[in-house]
Amino acid sequence: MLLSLIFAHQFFISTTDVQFKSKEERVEITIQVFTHDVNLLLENANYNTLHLGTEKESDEIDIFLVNYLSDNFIIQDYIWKYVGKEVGLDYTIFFLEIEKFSLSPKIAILNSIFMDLSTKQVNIVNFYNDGNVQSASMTIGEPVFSFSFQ
Amino acid sequence: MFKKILATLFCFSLVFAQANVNKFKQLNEEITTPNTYRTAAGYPGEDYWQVEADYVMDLILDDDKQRLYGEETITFHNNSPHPIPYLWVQLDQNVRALDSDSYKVQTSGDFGAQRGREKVQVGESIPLSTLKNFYRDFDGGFKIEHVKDGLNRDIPYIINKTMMRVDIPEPIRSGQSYKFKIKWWYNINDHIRDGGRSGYEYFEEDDNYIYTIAQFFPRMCMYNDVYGWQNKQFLGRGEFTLIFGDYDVKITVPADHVLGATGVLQNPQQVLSKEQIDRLEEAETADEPIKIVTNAEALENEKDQSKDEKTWHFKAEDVRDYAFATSRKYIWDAIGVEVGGNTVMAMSYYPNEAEPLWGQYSTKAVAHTVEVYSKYTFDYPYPVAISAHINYMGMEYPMICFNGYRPEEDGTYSERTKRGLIGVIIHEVGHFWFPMIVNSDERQWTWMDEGLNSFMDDIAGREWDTELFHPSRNTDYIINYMKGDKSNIMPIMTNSESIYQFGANAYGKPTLALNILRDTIMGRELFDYAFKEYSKTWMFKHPTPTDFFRIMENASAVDLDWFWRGWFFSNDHVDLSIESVDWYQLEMDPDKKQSLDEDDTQYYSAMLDEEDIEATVTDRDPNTRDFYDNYDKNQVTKRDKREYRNFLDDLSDEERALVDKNDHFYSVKFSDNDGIIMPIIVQFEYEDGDKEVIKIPVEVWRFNRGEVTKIFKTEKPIKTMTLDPFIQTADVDRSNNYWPERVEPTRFETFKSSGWGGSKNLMQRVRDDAAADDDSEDDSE
Repeated sequence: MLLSLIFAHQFFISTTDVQFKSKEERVEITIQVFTHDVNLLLENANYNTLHLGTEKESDEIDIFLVNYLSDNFIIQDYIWKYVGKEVGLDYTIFFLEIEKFSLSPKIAILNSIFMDLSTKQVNIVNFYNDGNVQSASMTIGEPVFSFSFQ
Repeated sequence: MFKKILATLFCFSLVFAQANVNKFKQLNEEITTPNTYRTAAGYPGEDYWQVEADYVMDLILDDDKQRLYGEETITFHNNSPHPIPYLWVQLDQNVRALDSDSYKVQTSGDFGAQRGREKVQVGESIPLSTLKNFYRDFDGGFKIEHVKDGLNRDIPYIINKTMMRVDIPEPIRSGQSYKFKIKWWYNINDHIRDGGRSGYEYFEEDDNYIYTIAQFFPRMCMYNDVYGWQNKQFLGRGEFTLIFGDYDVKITVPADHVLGATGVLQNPQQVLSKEQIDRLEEAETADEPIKIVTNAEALENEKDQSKDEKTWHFKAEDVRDYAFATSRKYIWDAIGVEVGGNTVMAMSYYPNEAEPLWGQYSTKAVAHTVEVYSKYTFDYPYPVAISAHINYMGMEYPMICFNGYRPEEDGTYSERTKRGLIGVIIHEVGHFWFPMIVNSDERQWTWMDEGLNSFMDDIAGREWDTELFHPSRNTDYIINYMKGDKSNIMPIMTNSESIYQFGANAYGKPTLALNILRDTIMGRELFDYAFKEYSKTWMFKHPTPTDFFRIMENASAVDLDWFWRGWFFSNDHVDLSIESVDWYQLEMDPDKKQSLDEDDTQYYSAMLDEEDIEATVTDRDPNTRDFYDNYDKNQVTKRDKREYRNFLDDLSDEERALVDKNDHFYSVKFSDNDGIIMPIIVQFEYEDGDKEVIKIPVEVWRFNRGEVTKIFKTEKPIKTMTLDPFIQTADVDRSNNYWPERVEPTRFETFKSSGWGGSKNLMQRVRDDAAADDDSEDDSE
């Protein structure tokens, strides 16, 4: 059966790298998802995805996606800024950033992206604190993880 | 300096006693013990056997009720060395019975098979697709009317979910055959609504159906030397374990249907027009696919619904399963492909809704796959290779597969759709080899067919279009998958039903692993020979993972136990790094060395002292000065020169030549960071700009220290070193792959520096404004 990269594909997964740069007091976030999932999400909301990622893409799509991300990707106490996205044939990467960021002992992150499309969705979040990395898998049972920085 | 090198080398020869957790420990308990059925070299042994079953079937499709009725006669051949007291038959349709276990064992994290087929409520905590599971009304599952023996006497049977035990009166002795009949019917599922690997799609506009029919008849279970009966229940994911046999099948459908099926059509005169038969013959030697049923004819067909029937008669030899696709909406095209002296008919069936995409690509993709797979494995042995369309599908059967993807209603399509279509066809046609002919146990091991086939379809895809199917697409994704939190990653060697992240684990990771094995570990020549040997050896047989592991080693003389251990039996990732680099030269002529040793580093305090202190005590009072004050420690002494002369005199001519060469030595420490070991591939960039790639075999890690130090000799000084410069070891963290240390621009920085936001000004403004508002609120708190 072809599961990979087509309709009923079973890659219910996304990878998010949260990169904290202490010197610059900045956080840079890349969220890598399947373009296929972005398509589904948009089609479910009645958007035409034919021109997704091309010059002809309508601005409404970006607005919809940013609103969707705002609901489903939250870093406690901060509002991220949308930098842009890269739509590939297979993967789409969303780029977000937060300025004036400081590390508190606990930082909770919600990542429920695409859990409304599939309850199997697993969102892996890697939090890079300069050289150190903490990793968590968010699922529909536990879409929030509290990262510790003691 | 020589001494330092020798000392380092000596250090390596020390051995520490420890329990054997060595990454090079040979696989023993992890794989099966060789025996007379399966040899230690990975081949069928002298006592290898496999059971078979032949089928004669009469089928009737009810296009009004979407039902399939069937009567089948199964002849089971007991080729095992022992008597078999009862038979197990698979009733896969029961997975859709109202009381199916496939629904009961689902947990909240498992729902979602129907993902994307319906609108879901964004923001709700439970998706509608999940709730839908509580409102099932489709009465699927087999209705078994009877099971009878050859003399039409009823045979008792018991149904255990998706399995049926047939209690034959006496054991079937070794070498004997047993014939029995089953009469059944079932309601065909709406594939678009309910999913599944077969079913129908309804077209409201013209009130017609496409049927892609499979797992439609009670099928013999596998009985083998590995598990006995393979009667592990079908829960919907682990696919099928089936045995070979010959099929004689008559399918009755509405007279205006166009039908494609496993096997060779026996009665073309009765079901095809003279014109269609002529077109088929023309297609055998055509340069471009020929339409047997044209687009216009298909459109005409779907206008009325014939109440007459036609019976299509097919025969298929040495197949493990049977499937067919039928619709009055179907266009049909074909082209002959020459394979090993035979003509294989590559064919496609698709409705006008799939045009123009399907007419352009489907049959050509089928033909391409047949050629490429034949080249790397064995010549395609069947007479036809078919791609039939139904939306939202990608599923394989012997000689026929069902594929989705169609253009927009206006006939346009995105590049993703085009790539998706060609990709799915190559993949599903590839399955005609794995597992339809190299017949592995899918219920047990998904990777053996999906992994091997995804690896092969990657090669076929690249031979179609290197850009469209660039190797980076799987590599980048799987590296990302492997690097993260391990709690959601299982080893590849995990049963099909228990795998998390099915796609990444059973498709993508084996593909990456085999690509690395082929290109980096074994090299294409050794790999291709061994892979072909595995394919040819197990053609029309039933291989296990152990057989695959063994044959790849036996045919190549490459010890791969470490590789299977790391990539197939663990969930580790690869992260090699350069830890440190030291630079040495051989003992130098003291006169040359002097200039190097003179230390011209200035210290700030000393610099100030020079200005502040007019004269020190030792300047003012010569009596305080002695030998040491007057001795220049950098000055070359007679003793130095004598020692150097002695050193040179002691050298042999060969050693003398070495010293004269004035080579550079770099002692580089590498670490495996406790992940999967890999060959060390390092690129040197010399100061003059030249580049050189050095490859050190993986055995460099054989002492399992986690760190190794290698000394490299170069004629020219090295400016930079890069580990794994061409992304060929699946290294998850490249930031530690450089000397001198280099900060790799992150994906984020690359994106930003590429002129981000240029074409998305509106979004930019909206978000910036929103963020600015929020910031000001934060500030005021």
